[in-house]
Amino acid sequence: MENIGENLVPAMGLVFGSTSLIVLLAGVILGIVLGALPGFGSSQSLALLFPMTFIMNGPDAILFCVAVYSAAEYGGSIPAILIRTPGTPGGAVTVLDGYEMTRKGLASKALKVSLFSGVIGGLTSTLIFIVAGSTLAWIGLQFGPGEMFALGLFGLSIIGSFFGRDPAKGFLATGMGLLLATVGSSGFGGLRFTFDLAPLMDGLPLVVIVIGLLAAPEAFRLLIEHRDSEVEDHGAADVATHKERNRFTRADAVRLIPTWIRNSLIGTAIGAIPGAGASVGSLIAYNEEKRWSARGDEFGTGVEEGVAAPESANNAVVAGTLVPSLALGIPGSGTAAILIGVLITKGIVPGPLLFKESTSLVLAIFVGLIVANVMLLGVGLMGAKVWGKVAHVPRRILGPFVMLMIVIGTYAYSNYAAHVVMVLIIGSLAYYFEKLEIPSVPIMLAFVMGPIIERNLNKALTIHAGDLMVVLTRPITIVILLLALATAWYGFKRAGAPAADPESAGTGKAAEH
Amino acid sequence: MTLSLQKALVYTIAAIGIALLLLFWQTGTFSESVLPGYPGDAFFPRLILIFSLIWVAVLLLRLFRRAADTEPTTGLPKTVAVELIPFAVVAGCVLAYIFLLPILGFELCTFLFLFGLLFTRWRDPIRQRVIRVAALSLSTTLFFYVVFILLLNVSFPVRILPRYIQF
Repeated sequence: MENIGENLVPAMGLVFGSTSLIVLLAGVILGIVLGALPGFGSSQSLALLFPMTFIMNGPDAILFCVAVYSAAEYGGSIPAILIRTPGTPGGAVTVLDGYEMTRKGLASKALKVSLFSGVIGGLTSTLIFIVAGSTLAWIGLQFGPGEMFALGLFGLSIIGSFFGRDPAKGFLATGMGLLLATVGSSGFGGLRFTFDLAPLMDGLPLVVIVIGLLAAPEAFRLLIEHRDSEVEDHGAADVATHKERNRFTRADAVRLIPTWIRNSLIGTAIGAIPGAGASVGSLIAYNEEKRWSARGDEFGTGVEEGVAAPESANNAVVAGTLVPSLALGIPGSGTAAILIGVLITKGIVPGPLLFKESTSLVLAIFVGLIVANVMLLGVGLMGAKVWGKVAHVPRRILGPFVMLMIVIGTYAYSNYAAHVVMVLIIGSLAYYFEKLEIPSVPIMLAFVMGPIIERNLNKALTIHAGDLMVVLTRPITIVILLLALATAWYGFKRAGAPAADPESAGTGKAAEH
Repeated sequence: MTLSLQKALVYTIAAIGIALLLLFWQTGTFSESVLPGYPGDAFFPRLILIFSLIWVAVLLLRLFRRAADTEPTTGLPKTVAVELIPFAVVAGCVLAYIFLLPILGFELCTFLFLFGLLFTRWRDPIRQRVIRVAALSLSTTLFFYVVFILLLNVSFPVRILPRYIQF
């Protein structure tokens, strides 16, 4: 990235403007609350809050989203620690030691360890993000439209291969997402797949796809499958009890520093790999920490390191995910796809040029992530008791509110009842598909990437007089396409191998989020 | 309704395959190329349709082979439960909300939507339940009115509250 010094002042102006700080604070609070609701991951939280970005300008909208993303990852650890129910897939591993700490009367300490670990993970990965992102963007800048088209296919190969348990279903879902993206105007004056229906003439809005694929199935699940459920009382301790034992001391912090460093690096690296996500990051971090830590044998019995490792890793994933998303336009997760979508709806195109032409915006995201993490620390410490109560809301009561937010949020996009009907149809299909283990996240990722891929393909074909073979046989393109094939092959090989343990078997499902 | 997972997958994938074939036929009506080098509006959708049809074929072949196999499928549940009536109730509530919105207004629709869905999920004795659910629905309606209509300026059809609450 060029002229960081020159662009830092405008970036600070974007982040420290009066509305931006309010937006960041709102994002942090809403992110923690939604992340703390059992079943709500960062992508579902962002999908539900997506309509709120309509009234924000571009930088505020993206700052709001990164704040929600960071805070939801921390929020997910709250029910994991207190009621043994992870709020986000990334919080699943935190249950192992977090809940054991709660049973020992150390709930408050576990929450503090989780908070500090999350904040440090987030800050570390943000610093790495700015270096890695600009390097990747520089590589991306050397690419022409043909190479960018191949890069898009590479992204699709990762999406199809690693979201869900079965790559064949993943690739079918990817195809469906690409098809949905072609509905409406072709960009060359023609209309595609509109069937003379007026609501389809402008194509499917991203908000409909995001809410329909991510938030609506969760709402259906809450309303249909959890209509009689209660929050199980696992004897979760009051977070205010045993004040002396629950104090998080400087000695605790010093002891956890190596854990934080190791796992922040693991989380950042995992986050940068499209398709991996917070659940894989926290699982690998936990296993690695178990090997490295002097208290490795005590893992699973309620040790601080067992909470610090997955929590620092899953928050580090946030900035890591932004690297390929912003630098190359390849979203690494459902959450990143929403972030890209927000940028696109605000007229900002993610990709290598973003780092060259909108350096101050990229720096603002970087500074915004740091500020969001600092706010997360303050809000997290102040509201520990309140967040604990949020985690105890019964799921059967939650459903009507979530569905109402979906309906109002979708309608608010352009006051159009047809959009709510579209969400209902897409949400119903996604809910049914999930029962058949056809993942819905690849549909959304492909929907976001589809127009980028088609635009680059059309550009490359126009340059090369319509000769597809010339486009596909350029040296860098061949290398990227071979990588895509190798990725798909590895995906099938991985899916065919028996799961080593129940935890690893679960990650395929968890990675969907 | 409970379906065998195998059957549910076969029917669903086959339905997707038929839909894809119909869409492929539909691409014949798309605009031809207007620029030299540009392959036309149908080119990219056809690539996607061929790609998707390949995976439909792979999945169907695998499902038929699995059906012939005597070994049980491991790791997957054998049945899929589709709760048609609860699903229809929820979908009906959403559709009723959106179509009654211009007639009854945001406030009444929101209140009734929440009251109806929460009432069936609350555990208290009936009188307490009515009071608590009504209070919760009313306060939530007020909250959404303030956030979406007064603060975010979303133009919902409103009937009652602007007479009493305005900034």
